[in-house]
Amino acid sequence: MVRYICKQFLGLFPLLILVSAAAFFLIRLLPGDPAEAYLNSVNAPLTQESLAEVREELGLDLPVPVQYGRWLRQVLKGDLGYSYQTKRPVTEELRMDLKYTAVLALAALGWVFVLSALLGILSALFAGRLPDRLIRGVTFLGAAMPKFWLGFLLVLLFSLKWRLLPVQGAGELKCLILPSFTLACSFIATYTKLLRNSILEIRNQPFVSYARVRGFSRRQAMFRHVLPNALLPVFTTLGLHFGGILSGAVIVENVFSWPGLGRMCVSAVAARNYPMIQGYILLMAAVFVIANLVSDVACALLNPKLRLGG
Amino acid sequence: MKFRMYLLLLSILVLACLFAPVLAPCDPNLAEPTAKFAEISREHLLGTDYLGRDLFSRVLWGGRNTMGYAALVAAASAFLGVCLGMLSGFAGGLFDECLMKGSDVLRSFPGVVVVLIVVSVRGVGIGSICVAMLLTRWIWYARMARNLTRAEMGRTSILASRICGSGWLKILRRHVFTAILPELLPVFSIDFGSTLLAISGYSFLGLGILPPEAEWGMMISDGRNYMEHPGMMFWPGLCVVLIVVSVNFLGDKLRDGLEERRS
Amino acid sequence: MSGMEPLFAAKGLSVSLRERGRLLPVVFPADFAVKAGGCTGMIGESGCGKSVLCRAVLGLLAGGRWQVEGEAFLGGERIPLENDRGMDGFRGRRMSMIVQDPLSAFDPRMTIGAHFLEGIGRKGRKERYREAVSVLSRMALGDPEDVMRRYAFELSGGMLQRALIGLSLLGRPEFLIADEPTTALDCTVQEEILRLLSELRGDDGLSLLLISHDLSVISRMADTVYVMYAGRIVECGPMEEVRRFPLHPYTVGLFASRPAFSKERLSVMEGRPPVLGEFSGPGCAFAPRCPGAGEVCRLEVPPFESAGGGHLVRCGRKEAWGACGGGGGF
Repeated sequence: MVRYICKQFLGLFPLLILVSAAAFFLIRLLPGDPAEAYLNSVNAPLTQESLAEVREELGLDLPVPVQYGRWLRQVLKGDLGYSYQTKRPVTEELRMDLKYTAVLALAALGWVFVLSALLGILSALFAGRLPDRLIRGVTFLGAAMPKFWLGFLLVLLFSLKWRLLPVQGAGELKCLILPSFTLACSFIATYTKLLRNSILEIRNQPFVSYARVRGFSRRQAMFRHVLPNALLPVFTTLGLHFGGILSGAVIVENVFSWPGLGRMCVSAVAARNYPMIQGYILLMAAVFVIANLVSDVACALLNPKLRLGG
Repeated sequence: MKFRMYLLLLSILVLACLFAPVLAPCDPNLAEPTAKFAEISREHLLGTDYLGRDLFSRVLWGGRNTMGYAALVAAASAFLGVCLGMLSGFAGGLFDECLMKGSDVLRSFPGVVVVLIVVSVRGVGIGSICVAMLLTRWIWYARMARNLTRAEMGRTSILASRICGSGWLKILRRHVFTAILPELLPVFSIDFGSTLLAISGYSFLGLGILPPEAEWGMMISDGRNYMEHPGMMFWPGLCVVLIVVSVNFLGDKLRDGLEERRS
Repeated sequence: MSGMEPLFAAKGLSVSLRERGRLLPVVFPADFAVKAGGCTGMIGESGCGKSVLCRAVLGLLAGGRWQVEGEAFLGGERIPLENDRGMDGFRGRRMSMIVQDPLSAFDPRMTIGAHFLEGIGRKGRKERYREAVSVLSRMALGDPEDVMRRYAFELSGGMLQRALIGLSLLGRPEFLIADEPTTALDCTVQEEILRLLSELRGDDGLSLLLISHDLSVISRMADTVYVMYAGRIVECGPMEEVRRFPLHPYTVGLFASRPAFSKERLSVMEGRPPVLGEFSGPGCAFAPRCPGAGEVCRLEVPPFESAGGGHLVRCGRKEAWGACGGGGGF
C-alpha cells in the first residue's frame, strides 16, 4: 500500500519539477529586466545603484540553476512575491481566491455525486426503456453544452425571467447554486453514463447472480454487490477529471463573476501581473498533484487487489 | 437514420460557415449605429448586436474561425500524436516507457494552466491558444495510437512484411496506419467537439481570437453585457451545441459500428 | 424409479432463448428427479444445456431473454420458477448451488468472511461469525478464521471451492446443485472435493444434483444418471445399470472415450454436438454422428423406451442399442 502510493507520487514528481521550472522561466523570459520589474513592483526608485543592488540581492548574477534553486526555496517558504496590481503578497491573494474556488468545486462535486448517482442508477434500472432513453438524451445534450453558454441560459431563466436566484455575487448560499451546477453539468453527463454502463456490466457478473443463489433478493444484490462495485470506476476516474474541473472553474467564475482563482488569473493575464500568474500556476500544479494522490489512495483503499498487491 | 440526420446537420453547418463570404448578407464587422439591437427581419435574419452588426453574418464568419481553428488544432494534435504514438509502439523501450508514464500524468493536467503559461510568454492571441492546446492534446492520440500499434505489431501480416524486407517506415505506413485509421476516426470526431468547446471557451475569456473578428465564444462574451437582448448570445451558443452534439453522436456511432464489426 | 417420492423433481422443464423474435429451444422438455439423500448425475458435452438447466431450476433465468416452461417440485412443494420474489424463499434456504469457477462467485471487493457475515436471515453478527467458523471448519480448511480474512484472489482453487461449498450450505439447504464443481481443479484436489460432497451427503442427508462432463466423476458419485445431448435427455436410469448396459449410441460413445474402461486404443467420437439453433431438422439430433443411424432416425425424435429396471432410452433403432463406432467399451 505504502509502496504503491510512493510509486504514484514519484510518478508525479517530474511534473512538479517541470511546472515549477516553467513558472520560474516565465518571469525570466519576459521582455525587460527582472530587476527593473522588481523595483517597479515594490515602488522603489529606478537608479543605477538600486538596480545593481537588487541584482545582487535577487542573485541575478548567479548561474541559472542556482537561481532556480534559490527561487524554489523561497517558493517552498511561501514567498511568491507581490502582486503588481494590489501590491499585496501573492500568497495572501491566492489564499482568498482559493477559498472561493474550493467552495465552487466542492459544490459542483456535490451536484455530480447526487445527480449522477440518481440518474445513473435510474438509467441502468430502466435500461432500454423510456426513462433510460430520456436520461441518456438529456445527458448527451449536457455533455455538449459549453459552460459559458449554459451559465447564461440559466441566468436568463432563473434570475431574469423567474427571479428565483441572484445573477451574481458570492455572499449567500443562493449565489452558489447556478455556478456550481453550471460547472457540474458536463461531469454529471460523464458520470451518469459511466455509472449506468458500469452497473449494467457488473449486474451480469457471476458473483452477482451467485449472491442471488445464496438467497439475496434482487434489491439486496443490487445494494450489496452491484452498486459498491459499480461505483469503483466513478471514484477512480475522479482524479482523471479533476484537471477538467479546475479548467472549467475558470470559465464558470468568469461567467458568474465569482471571485475565485480563475477570475483572478484571467484578469492577471490581462494586466500582465506575472507574480500572480506564476502563483496561480504553482498552486494549480500543487492542487493537481494532491488531488491525484488522494484519488490514488482512495483507489487503493477501495480495491483490495491493489492494496495487497503493493 | 439518426446518423444521417446528424451528418446532414453537421454538413449544413460546416458548409454554411465555409461559404460565409458568399452566403453572408453583410460585412460581419460593419457597424450600423442606427440599427443597434435590431429585431429579426428579412434584412437581418437573426437581428443585430450592440454595434448594429448583422448577427447572421457574424455567426457564419464566426463559425469559420471557431471551426477552422478547432479543426486545425485537432488535426495537428492527431498528426503529432499518431506519429509519436506509432513510433513509440513500434520502437518500445525507454522512449515508450517515458511516453506512457508522461501521458499518464499529463492527461489529467488542467489544460488552462498550460494555456496560461503559453499566453504569458507569447501574449494573448489565437496562436498562443492553438500552441497550448496542441501541447496537451496530442497525448491522447499518442496513447491510443501506441496501444493500437502494439496490438497490430503482433499480427502475422506484419511479420510477413518484415520477412519480405519491408523497412520500418513502410510497415508503419502501409500496415499499421491503415489498420488503426478506422479506430482513430471516432476519437477524432469526439476530440474535434471538445477542442471546439475549449477554443471558444478561451476566446470567451478573451485569451483567444481578438475583436473585432467574429468568433462564437467571443460573441457570447459580448452578449453578456446585454442580457436583455439574449439573441446576441443565443445563436452562436446554439451553433456550438449543435456541432458538438453531432460530432459526439457521430463519434459514438462510429465506435459502436467498429465494436459490432469486431464481435 | 423407486416408489419413494423424490426430493426434487422436474416435470417437462424446458428452456428457450428469445432471439430476434424467434424462440430457440435450448433445453427440450425434460423430466428428472433427485432422491432424498441421493445424488443424481447429469452428463453431457459442453453446450448441451446442462448449466442452463440448473440456472433455470434456481429461477435465475426468470424474465429477460429466457423463457422457462414446465414445473419443478422440491419436497412435494412447487418451486415458483417464474416468480422472482417467490424464489427468494427457496434460493439459499432450501436449495443452493456451487459453480465451476468459485473465484468469480465471490465479490472481489469483499473478504471471504464478509460473504459469510452478510448471510441471510435475522441473526446477530457474532452468531453469524460462529456459524461461519463452524461451517468452514467442516470443509477441512486448515484455519477457518484465516480464510475468512482473505480475499478470493488470495486463495487457491481448491480452498475457494471448499469455501464456496461452505457458503452455499450456510442457509442449510436440503438440495445442492453442483455445476461442474471439480472441472477447474487439479486431480488430487478434485478427489478431496468429491469426498467432501459425499460426506455431506452421508452426514447431513444433502441431496445432490451433480452436473459434469466427466464420466468418472458421475459414475463415482451418482446413484442415478441422466445423459443429455443437444438439449435433450437421451438416456437415464440407475447409474449401475447405465454403466453396465449403455444403450444409446451416444452414451456408449461416452463410455468408450473414457480411458479407465478401455485398455485398447482410446476411441474418439467423430464430430461435435450441434450449436444452439443449428440442428433444426426433425429426428434425432445425434443421427449425424451416430454410426448406426438409419432412415427412421431422421424422421422424428424418438420417444423414451424402457429397457427395464427404470432404464429409459431415447433411440429409435432398437437394433442399434449398445452399438458405437468404437465398439463397446467394456
